[in-house]
Amino acid sequence: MNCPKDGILRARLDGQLTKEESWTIDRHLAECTACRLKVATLSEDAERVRAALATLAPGAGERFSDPQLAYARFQDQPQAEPRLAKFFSRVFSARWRPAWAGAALLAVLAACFSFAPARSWAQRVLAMLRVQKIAVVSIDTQALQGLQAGSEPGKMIGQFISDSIVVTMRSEPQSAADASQADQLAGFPVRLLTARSDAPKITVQGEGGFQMTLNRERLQGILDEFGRTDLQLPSSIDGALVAVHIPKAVMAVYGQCPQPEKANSQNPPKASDLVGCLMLAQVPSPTVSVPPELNIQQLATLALQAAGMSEQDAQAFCETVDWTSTLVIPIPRDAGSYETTNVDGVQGTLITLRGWSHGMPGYSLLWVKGGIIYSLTGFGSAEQAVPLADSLE
Amino acid sequence: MVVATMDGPDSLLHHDPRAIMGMGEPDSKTVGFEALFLKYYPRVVGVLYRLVGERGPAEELANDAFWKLHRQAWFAESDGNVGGWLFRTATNLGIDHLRAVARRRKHEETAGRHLAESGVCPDPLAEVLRAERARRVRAVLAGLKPAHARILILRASGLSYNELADSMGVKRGTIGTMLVRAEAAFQKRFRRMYEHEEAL
Repeated sequence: MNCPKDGILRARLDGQLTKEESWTIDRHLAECTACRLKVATLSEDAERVRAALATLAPGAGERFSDPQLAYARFQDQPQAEPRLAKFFSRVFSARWRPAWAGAALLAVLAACFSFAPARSWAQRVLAMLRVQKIAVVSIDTQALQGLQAGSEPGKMIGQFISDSIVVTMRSEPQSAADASQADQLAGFPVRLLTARSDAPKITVQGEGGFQMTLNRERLQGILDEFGRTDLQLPSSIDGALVAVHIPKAVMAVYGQCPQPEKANSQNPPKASDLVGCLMLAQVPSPTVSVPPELNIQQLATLALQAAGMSEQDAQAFCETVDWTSTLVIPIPRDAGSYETTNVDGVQGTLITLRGWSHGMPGYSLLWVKGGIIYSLTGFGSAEQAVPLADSLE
Repeated sequence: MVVATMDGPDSLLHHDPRAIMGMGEPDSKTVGFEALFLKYYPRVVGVLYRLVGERGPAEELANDAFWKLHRQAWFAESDGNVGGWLFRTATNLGIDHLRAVARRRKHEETAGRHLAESGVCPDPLAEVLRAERARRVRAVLAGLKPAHARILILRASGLSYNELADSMGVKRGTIGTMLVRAEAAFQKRFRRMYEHEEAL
């Protein structure tokens, strides 16, 4: 046999090979002086490191809490944290994780390539970014196939998000009987579709906030895993804080709409039931606080390249966008098309989706007016979107 | 700026806040959590103690790791890799803590002095030397790639190759190679930091 790799020899030293594997290796070692020397070197290295790490073991006098007592303490903790955590466990559930993983990657790339290395994070004043307009960009999702939830990069990003995010604010959703009650609960004027005669189910989503602390080593590991070893992050990003605040949002649901949490149920809604489904969302712009030196254009160019866009295309697109005030929505090239349109007295973006959900075509109309982001989403022909949106009062 | 992403049309735009704002059916995921806690707590604390060197912070971090598990929607419904997830989460928490401490260089520098002053050790000098050695080992770990630090600390905590593979999210056959690389990185860094003071 050929000389085995170091990893195999190392596993042999640890007795972690099968009997047959061990027998094969031992036979080779009996004949191969070079491998015997290699094993001796590996053994010495392993022993040195083992001895060093052995100093970290708990001393004989060290006593940890009994697991039953530890569990009792665990249960006695205030319940606020798990409730807050539940919100984020849903946000970062397997269903949504790939999307958040992508978002995190974009944010991370932005942050990592945008700072002078010698500055102190603590001295920085955070800059606020607010959404004032919306832009859509088509991307080829093939480059992001590696980011699926079960993939190694996906797992690493999911773990990074799980470990790095601290929920700073969360209030519970409330139902509202009508628009005026929704006004009071949400704190901004809520508008409804007068073109629909049926009453919507209105929910005011609670305010939310979270902070993410960047960890350079782990982010670099994610980039490496993603195959971008050419991108080296500056060490100065370590500990940088990105804070997000999401104001109260109002969701008005007309007709029978699919429920994402039941998307995998055995009895999916029939297509005929979905024709009347309309989802109107309105939310004051979330704010993202980042260190002011953030060069978002530079990062966005890199992020779009990571998403499969050519360098030239990414640069051309990024130069057209004011990244401090624009919500950029990438859509997969093969999923649909988009066009700008006049809606509600401003310019909006109408996205047509060929097979959005349950095999039905659908549409999403997005616009920003008076600091409020609106989206109207439904099934069927996109031609009805603008007249519906123009009926808002 | 907020960036939505490309998870195919079903998740496009996250238009339905119910999906991301926590509405809907409550999770029935508490079943079995206590059993998992009792099963893994001692080993998780042991791993964290090796990383942080103090019982209090080790137990707090273990508590944090279990909170993170508690928030996961998948663990009760899956016969999946809870142990691997826990060890990975715990070591990440421990490494983050270790780095924060290494930056402050506070409690580690005084740890040996506390031990010596407390007079509880049968051989105070030997204990001070051991504590100083441990401080250096932790400082080296803090500067390694997280994957290297994680596999070294988990192996030193007695995890098998199968358990390491679960925790590292890799195939069992690659563990030997990862260990060789991690050990080489550890030795290189130790020598660079302490070659004039102490042999490895």
